[in-house]
Amino acid sequence: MSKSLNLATMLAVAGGLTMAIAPTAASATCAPISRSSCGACTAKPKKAKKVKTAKAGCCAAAPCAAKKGCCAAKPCAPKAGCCAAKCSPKA
Amino acid sequence: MSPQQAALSLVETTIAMHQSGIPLMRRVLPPEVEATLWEHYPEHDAVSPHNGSRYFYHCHPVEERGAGEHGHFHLFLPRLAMEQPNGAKCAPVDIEADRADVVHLAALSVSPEGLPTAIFTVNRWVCDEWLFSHSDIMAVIDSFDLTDADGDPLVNAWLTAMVHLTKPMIGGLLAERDERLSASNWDGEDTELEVVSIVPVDLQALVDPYLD
Repeated sequence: MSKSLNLATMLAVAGGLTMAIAPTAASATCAPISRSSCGACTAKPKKAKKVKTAKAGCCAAAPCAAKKGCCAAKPCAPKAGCCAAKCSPKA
Repeated sequence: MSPQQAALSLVETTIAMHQSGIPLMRRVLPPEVEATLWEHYPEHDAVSPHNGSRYFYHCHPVEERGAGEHGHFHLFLPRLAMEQPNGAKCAPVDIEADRADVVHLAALSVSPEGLPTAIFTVNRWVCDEWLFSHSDIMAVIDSFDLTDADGDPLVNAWLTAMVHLTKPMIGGLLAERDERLSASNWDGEDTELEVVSIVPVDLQALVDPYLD
């Protein structure tokens, strides 16, 4: 392949990405204070089930836990062949 | 994957996306999708069913974005991919909470034009990860492979190649992260410290040495 390939030109999004990104309800709630000091992240650790879907809010940098199946809260074990999002409870 | 293989894969996937008329970031954020702060793209993350490699893209509020950043990819391996899964330097505070049990490799910033601009590491609390030392992570980083993950195959292949091509940079960033965290007794919970180490990325300069 040639060095004349211009990767930036090929990757560029025509018109650019929209910078006006809509807030979620939870992130709007957290907006006045920084994410790092948002009480929703630190004051209620037992409500982690709300965090696991990472749908909204100031803790959303955490990855989504699998939502169903026997691996619900675990990553796939490399050798178990158990798919976190797809295996059944009896698999 | 050797650096040369990674460079060629990155170029090939970039060309394939260009020829299809849908560049990388339009696959992550299609025009019909209204991007929402903190939401994960793809929803529920893209995860390899075989090795647990994982990524998602998201956007911070404008006042919390890096300079010239639209959003960033977070890139992970599962904790169980580590040679010593119980050897984390910093564990989650609430160990019993539901979580994905991941180890954060690095994040990749993307500009408003859709181009990668920087790679950075974060403090433990940011992704609620199991934080392992840079040497532990670099010992297994070759297992990072998203090619069989759900989501867009070209995006998955591009990100896989990007991690392998930038492995020396990621190693350096993780070492710098460790140095800063060890100076604070490995307290991964300092919420004043979010991005721990960062380096700009010049994609063309990364691949040019491997092109004719």
